[in-house]
Amino acid sequence: MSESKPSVWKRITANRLFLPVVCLVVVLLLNVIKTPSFFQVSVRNGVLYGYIIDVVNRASELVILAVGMTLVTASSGGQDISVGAVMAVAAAVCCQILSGGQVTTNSFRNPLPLAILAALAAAALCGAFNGLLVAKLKIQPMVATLILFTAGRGIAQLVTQGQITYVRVDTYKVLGGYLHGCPIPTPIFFAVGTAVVVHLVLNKTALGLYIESVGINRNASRLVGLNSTMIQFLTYVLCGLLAGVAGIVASSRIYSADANNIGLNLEMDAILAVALGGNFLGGGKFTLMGSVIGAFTIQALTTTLYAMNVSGDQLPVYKAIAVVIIVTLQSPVFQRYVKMRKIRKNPAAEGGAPA
Amino acid sequence: MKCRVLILDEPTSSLDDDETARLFTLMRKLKGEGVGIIFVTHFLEQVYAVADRITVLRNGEYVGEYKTKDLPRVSLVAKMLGKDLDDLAEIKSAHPEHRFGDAKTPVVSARKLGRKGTIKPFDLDVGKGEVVGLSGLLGSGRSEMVRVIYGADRPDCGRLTVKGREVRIGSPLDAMKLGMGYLPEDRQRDGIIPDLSVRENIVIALQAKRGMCHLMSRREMDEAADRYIGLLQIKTADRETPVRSLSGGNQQKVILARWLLTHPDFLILDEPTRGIDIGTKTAIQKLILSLADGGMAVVFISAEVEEMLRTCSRLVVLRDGRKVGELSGGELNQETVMKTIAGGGEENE
Repeated sequence: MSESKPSVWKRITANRLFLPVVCLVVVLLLNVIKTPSFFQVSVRNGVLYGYIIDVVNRASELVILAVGMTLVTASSGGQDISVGAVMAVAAAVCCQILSGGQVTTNSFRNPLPLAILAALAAAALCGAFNGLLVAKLKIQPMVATLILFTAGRGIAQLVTQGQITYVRVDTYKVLGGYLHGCPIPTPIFFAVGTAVVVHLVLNKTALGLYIESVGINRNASRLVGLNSTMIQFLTYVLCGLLAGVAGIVASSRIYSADANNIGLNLEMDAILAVALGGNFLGGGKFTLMGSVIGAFTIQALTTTLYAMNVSGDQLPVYKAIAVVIIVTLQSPVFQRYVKMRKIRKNPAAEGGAPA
Repeated sequence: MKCRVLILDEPTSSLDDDETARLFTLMRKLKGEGVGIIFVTHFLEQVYAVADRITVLRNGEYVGEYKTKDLPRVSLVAKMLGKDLDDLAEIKSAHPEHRFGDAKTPVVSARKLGRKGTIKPFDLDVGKGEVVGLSGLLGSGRSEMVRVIYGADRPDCGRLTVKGREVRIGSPLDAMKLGMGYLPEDRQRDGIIPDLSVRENIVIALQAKRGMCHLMSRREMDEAADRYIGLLQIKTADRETPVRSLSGGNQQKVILARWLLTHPDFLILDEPTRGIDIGTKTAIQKLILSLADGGMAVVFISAEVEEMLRTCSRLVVLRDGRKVGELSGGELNQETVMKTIAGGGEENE
């Protein structure tokens, strides 16, 4: 088939990251218009300051969640709405172990590595629970994860015995703050590290290909020798584990475990980030980079809305509107409409691509 | 509610023999009470067990209506398959060009393998270099038979021996590791992975065999994809094109390439030529013969009996969910196949 090489512009717009980047740029522009000093960065007390730094810093938990959510969406075509609650569970386990059961502590009653491992294990266990329901029992993802969405914070409360457990230890605050002598906030390292590690695992092993295959056609994948159940299960465990990481980072920022507020409503943001990243919410092919861009976009959007004096209660409404728009644009009916318009404009260029 | 006409659409598909017998008793009772019954089915034996009149439909068209006692089984089968019975006797048997197959050392050997509700226990041997065809009407259990061998469905009973060793196949991966491959009947539902590229669709089975931690290098994948795109003449703009953009025939070639890449010893092809243009059909038939020449054991299912007669050295016949016969040598002609499918030997003329 002979065809002229598509122009540079055509190739850029056809790239699946094009729309996510455009959205991010738009939101950043809105921010700059509202706050001219948005991109200004200064160094004070050996630490970076600035609106943009703040956005990137606070986006860290969201980036980590979005990575996990991408995998779950890709492999099962559904979403894990329990990630916020799982963050709270992980935070509760971590702080409770560090404080040795006390409501507040000024020193580690138990070693930090133990607390972190236990917290991650608890989070992974939550993920495994979700995975069992979805992959093995074939329950719809949103219904299955609704259980921990509802019960998770209750479990976290049980762990902290109904109190907010404080860990007023500098070493712990570092995880959500700054490493000694480093101007970049630590959460950013966690976010970047997570994204890089997951990317490597997906691309240096066949797991990325398997997840896409299972998400696109579970039947066919099984017949070519893939263990579809195990792969879906694995993505849910990973999602839980990553929620655990995010939970520890979030709790370190406030050096406490607030079972009611840690990760509150973050699941909606994570889903939105995945969608904004150009990932199809029905499962299949995915892009981690897209979700990361989406996460930054959401965070920047939140900053814009706050700057426009939208109250915290109204924020979800605007985000919900954004979700509706994106889902409509991704819908098969709309995609067909766009295709038809393209064909009508350019009948020759489309050239008979037989179905 | 007093019913005057009762329409039963495939009522016996999920019933076992006892339940079917009870249904028929009930139907006869209703018939005695004056209820008119329309019984839609593809099971030959059942038609002759309960029906007074038979209406035959084929490819969405009305073929004809006949009194059951005036329509011998063979004629019914002939009408269902669109053949003229008188012509069949004239056609010489189509000997395959090759006389091959080493039936004495079977690659795969099934004994009393079966699955409740889909395929009654059967025996089957397929030897190195043989092309064994499975023939029968729609719904006779051909796909179910191969699925139970491959591990796509779990068998309830029986034993399977592969290359001389008895094996337990728990999943398709087990079958693949034993050297089996399976091209499914429903290419859209069970075959292609639409959004993945041609390259990814071709390498996926081999990758699954290698294991998750042993990712094929990009170069190996590209070479494999290019090799089969050339070998099977797969028409695609690029090896990265999503497979859903390809035509049905080319999609089928991609799935064939997928299994050929794994170099199986035993390949199951379920309707590989359905919905494909005549040129590709012939190419695939030639390919099957050359694969068998190279020593591969092949099981071939096709709705077109001529196709199978041209490629198979043996034909296994199924009816109503069980194996009813095996034909070879001089028996490989349309007439014998029809008669075996029809069964009820004494009524044939």
